[in-house]
Amino acid sequence: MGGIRMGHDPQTSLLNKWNQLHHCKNVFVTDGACMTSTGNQSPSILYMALTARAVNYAVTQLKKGEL
Amino acid sequence: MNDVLVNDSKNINTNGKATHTYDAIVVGSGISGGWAAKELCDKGLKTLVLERGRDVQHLKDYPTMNLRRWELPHSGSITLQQKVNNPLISKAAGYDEATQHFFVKDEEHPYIQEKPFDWIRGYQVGGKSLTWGRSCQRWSDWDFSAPLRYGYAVDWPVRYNDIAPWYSYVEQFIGVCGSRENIESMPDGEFLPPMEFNCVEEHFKKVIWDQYQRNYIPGRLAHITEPKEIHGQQGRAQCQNRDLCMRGCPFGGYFSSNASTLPWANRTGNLTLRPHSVVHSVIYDEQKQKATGVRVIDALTKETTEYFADIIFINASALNTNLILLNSTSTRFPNGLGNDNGLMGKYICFHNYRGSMNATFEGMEDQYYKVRRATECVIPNFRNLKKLEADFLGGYVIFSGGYRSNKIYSTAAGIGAAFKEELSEPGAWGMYMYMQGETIPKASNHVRLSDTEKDRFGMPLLITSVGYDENDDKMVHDFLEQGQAMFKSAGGVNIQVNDSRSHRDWIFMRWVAYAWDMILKLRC
Repeated sequence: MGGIRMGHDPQTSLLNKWNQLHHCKNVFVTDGACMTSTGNQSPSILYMALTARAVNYAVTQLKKGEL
Repeated sequence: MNDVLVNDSKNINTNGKATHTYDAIVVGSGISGGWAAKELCDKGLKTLVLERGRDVQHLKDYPTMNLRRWELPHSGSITLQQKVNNPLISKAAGYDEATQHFFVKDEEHPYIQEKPFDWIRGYQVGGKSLTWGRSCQRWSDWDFSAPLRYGYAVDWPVRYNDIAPWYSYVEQFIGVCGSRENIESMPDGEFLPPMEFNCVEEHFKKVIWDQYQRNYIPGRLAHITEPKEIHGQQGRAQCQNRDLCMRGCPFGGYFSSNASTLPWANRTGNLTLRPHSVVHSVIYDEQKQKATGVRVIDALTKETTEYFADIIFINASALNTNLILLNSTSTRFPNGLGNDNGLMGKYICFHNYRGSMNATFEGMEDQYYKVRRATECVIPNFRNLKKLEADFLGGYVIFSGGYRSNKIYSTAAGIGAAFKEELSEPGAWGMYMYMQGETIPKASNHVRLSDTEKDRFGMPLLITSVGYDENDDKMVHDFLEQGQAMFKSAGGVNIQVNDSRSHRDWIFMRWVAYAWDMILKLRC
């Protein structure tokens, strides 16, 4: 997991809270690479939940002309 | 899904941009890529899903789904030659004669291990969603806030309340069995009925609650124990407790991209699925200051083509997503797409499955179980929740189960009628436990691209430099100590503990595969 982690700050992370690359807004990473930490629970359902959430955000932004 | 396959790979780059343009591109068709495809297609976006491996269609491409052990050439075992040819992937739990076609072959997909690291991969439509562990426990806010509270990694930009409605959304669609327990470190979800405990598990649950105030609960797994309308709409039916999941389930009893999200997306008419498509990189447009598409190498013809879209989701699996983005270089991003801070590929983390144990429990020999339950039991994390109480950072969850062992290896009856008689009798009750421990992300655990070595598609090889540290050793020690104490409290004898020191990026314990194998030998 990790390597393209989520975070608040573009200086210390690659993705924002919507799994969107800080510096390339129309690219989203929602698989295990996005993980800031591993937790102890199995992560797959978190990937699925983050994905559905990110798609919802991405399509909303696209329709607003923001992407 | 054949009708949606793109068959123009021999004519690449001659079709013009319009025919290669979609609203969205998803790289990868595994557990998260399948979800991206479903959601994008449901919202009306023409979506291209690129999968590097071959197509695997539900039912049609599950060649071993109904075979009994004796119908397999080597009774399910892999041959010595296969092990020699595949020293890495043959270590994956669940890898056997009946499932090996859903895992890569070592020689076809090399990578460079600077430290020993087992990278478990399944390159086909559906990816590892065909062979995953199916465990679906929710994270709690203790997990999301741990890096901030204990000062490691960086703070998660989300909290439980941000994700909870999306957990519910996903759980209702995929089907997750489980019991409502009101446990702070493992929030409840939208559960189908839980799988039942057997008698030794009931006994153990009572003891560890009475003596440790720790929970022992039915595992929350993506199995349909009671089909709802939404599952029928997917063409999925109730789990039959066959416990042959990793071969592909003819009932769609467990969740996979192949049984669920991909056919769902296909029915919208918005999906185009292109197997044999190795994504080389994301195309960045310096003028538009955004990504415009991806470069794809056809795995069969080795020809390169480009596909374009407004939105790009990279779901290639954790390390391959790193590889693709590190390889996506441009004048603006010489070190990988979006990698201004140079942190891409760093802070790689994984789950630690090193510790495992089993024990024998005497008595209860008048009881047995009825089905081949495909789930396990869980002890939610009890370490470092509200405060740092251990000499290590992070926590661990324990997977566990009880079983009747067999007498095959204990019999002294030789061969013949007496031996057969012995085989028909179950042995003592046993229980196993194994840990799934958090590892603490650190910059030195990283992946990067080789400057010199490439694979047969011309992609730079990935170098993995990922290993255990002292924090992991301490956590393993704690699990082994706590696990033994709990077994002893419950009357367990012949307790055997193991620290495998095996390295892997996911998937459960090899030891458990062994235990299951023993159980299956008795059952079949």
